[in-house]
Amino acid sequence: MSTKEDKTLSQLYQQAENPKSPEKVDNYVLALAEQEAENMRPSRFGPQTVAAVASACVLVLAVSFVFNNPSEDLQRNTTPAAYQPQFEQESAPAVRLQAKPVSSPVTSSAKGQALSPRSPDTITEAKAETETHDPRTEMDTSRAYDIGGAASLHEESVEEAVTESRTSTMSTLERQDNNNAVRHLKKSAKQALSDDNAATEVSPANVVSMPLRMSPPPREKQKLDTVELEHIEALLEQKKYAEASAQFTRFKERYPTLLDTPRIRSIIETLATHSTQDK
Amino acid sequence: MTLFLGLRNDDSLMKAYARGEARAFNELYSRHKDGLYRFLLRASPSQTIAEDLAQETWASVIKRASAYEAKGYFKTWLYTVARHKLIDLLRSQSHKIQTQVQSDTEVEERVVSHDNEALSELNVHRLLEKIKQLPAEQREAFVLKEEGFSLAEISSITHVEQETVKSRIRYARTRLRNDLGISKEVVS
Repeated sequence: MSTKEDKTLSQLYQQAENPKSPEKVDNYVLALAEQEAENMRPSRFGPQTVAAVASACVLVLAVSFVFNNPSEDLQRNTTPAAYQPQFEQESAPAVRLQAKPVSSPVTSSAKGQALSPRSPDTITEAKAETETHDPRTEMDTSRAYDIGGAASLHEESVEEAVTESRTSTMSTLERQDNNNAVRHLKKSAKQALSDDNAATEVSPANVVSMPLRMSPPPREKQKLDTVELEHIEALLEQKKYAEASAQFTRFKERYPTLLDTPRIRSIIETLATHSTQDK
Repeated sequence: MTLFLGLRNDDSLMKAYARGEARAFNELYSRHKDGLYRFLLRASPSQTIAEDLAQETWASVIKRASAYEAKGYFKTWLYTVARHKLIDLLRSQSHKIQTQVQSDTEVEERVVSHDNEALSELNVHRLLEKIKQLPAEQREAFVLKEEGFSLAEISSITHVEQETVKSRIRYARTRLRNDLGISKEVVS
């Protein structure tokens, strides 16, 4: 056979229309291939994946075990003084010993207030003078902090703030009824401690992970409210409804955002009842 | 990713598909689908049969993907599978096919071309018809040769010696040349 003949037949063959694979065949084959590929694909939960997940779980357990059981040294170093049992008993007398005699100038109006019978307004104003933080700013700032993680820090901060408050307030209130003021502050401080203890059970793990930052105590502002509320409640008990109403009006103006609590609702109901009766 | 698939050889793509990469098979299919269909169309009696055979061939490739061993060329293996399908079908439907082929046969008209008209469209059409009238062994050998396979590859696909392949191709060419009236004088 000659090359030229081959070339002629090949040319004829190549000139023939080159048919394409029909679309229906393509669709069928590709769909079948896709389906089979799914079956041939190795399982995602193979032995390697299971081993990786298991090792990750072991690692997490180990880390959580370590952080839940710190060494004794770590506990000793990080346990705050506020958790020592003698702290509560010794703290109140210490405040009294630290109290200094009045050395700051007292204005005539302040003297007048001081000489007059002690009212809760006086206490609140005096405290407000000693406060360097704006309560609203303080509240906003406290929102930015992690309250859950810094529970123990709150407790410390409450103690410090109350102590500072006592010390500075004592100078102003010394001419007033010192015993009453200290009793009020002690009561509020103890309540703060008991509230915090009840609300948050602070574990050593929390103490270890506690961020080292000085946050303004979020509870401090609530204590100030509590003092006022206690006074309003005392007035209500003494049936001094007019005075209590006036006091509560001032409270509402000062803390418009704190009115939706059971305690305050109770006061509002009591005042509403008696105002209706008076009418 | 498509670029990398395009650079991989057929065996690699087949292995990738056996691991579940559907896109590897898509690349493989796009490479060979038209050639395989053309071979089946030329070698089988009708277009419908060629389509069925193409579908069955690729389905068989898909089923055997996990057992595929990259010993040789994928293309040779693919055409071997297709040829087996074709032979099975020809054996099972031999009488039907014979009838169909005979009905398609036209009265031979000997065309003696003295110029480039030998390459006309008419001759192309007649060539394809004459190819279908060749004996099956000669037909598949001729078509595989025209599709670009070497004698060794055709030998591998058809499971015969290379000399046998060469003879079949020679007989096929002689017959086609005679049927189409292409003489040595004309070509030269």
